[in-house]
Amino acid sequence: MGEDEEIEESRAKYKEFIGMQVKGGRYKVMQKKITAYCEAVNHNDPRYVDENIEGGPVAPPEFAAAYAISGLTSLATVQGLIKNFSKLLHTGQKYEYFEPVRPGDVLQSDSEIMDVYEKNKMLWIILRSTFVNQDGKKATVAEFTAGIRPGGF
Amino acid sequence: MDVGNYDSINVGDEICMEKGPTLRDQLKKYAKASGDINPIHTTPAIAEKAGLGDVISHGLFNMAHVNHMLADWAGPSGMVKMIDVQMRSMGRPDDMLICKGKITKKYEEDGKKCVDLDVWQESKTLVTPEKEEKGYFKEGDEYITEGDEKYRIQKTVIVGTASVILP
Repeated sequence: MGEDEEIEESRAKYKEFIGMQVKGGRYKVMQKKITAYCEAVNHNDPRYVDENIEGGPVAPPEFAAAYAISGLTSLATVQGLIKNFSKLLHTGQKYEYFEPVRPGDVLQSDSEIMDVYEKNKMLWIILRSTFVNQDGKKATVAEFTAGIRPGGF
Repeated sequence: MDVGNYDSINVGDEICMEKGPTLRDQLKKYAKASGDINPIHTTPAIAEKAGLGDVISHGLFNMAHVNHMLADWAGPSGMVKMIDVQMRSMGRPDDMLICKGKITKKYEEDGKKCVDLDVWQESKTLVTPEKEEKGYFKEGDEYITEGDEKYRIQKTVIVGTASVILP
């Protein structure tokens, strides 16, 4: 059996999870959270940390990591998929940005498991989270790829 | 870093930003600020127990620096539209992280000046006996020497693509 066939066969094994909607969350964006994040990654640009800047500050694109972690933690609520989270490797991340994220925004997320398959003795999971702001506008889409090492699934 | 000028850039041009060194305290701050509190990033004893020898930086901490480069290049009037990366190698305390981008396409879309790039991150790690003992280095690693110092170079800590709107 070729690798592609093996992957396809393993998808059948996990079909109950593919397309599953995962519990979403609500994240209130606060300036102090943006400032703490910017300090941690040493990206202290006034457009992110100066509360008095004309037009008001925005979050830097990498701040998506802070509000999108809810997608990752929501995987823990999925029964029967990951048995040991210490075996999880964060192997890939995609962010698409549609609207600026600002202090005061409230982001509501919905997550969906896009794919689950086995390859190279590991379990691969792709989770997509969509973040919509208080005006109903799509702000960010985050796609998280994890590889679960043997013993973790 | 200067903001990119759409009219003067060409496919094949490169951008670069060096960040670091990564500090242990910085990883603790990152854990708190990002919500990723896995102790393999902050507590050496737990990282050792997990077989890592010492703490490793968060993958998204490393990725943040690539986003930093893109956001600075886009400037206040531009924006990062998309970034899609794979995390290929581990980052460690004391690493210098060299973020790079190479323009693959420039085009106008909905009246906006868009640029696609290949992006990647290299790391440069000073070799010390302590780090060797902790298992920072592996067979097949690449090294350079500068003066009396030896450094391990990882070419692809992160690799992927990005799209940016320039002013």
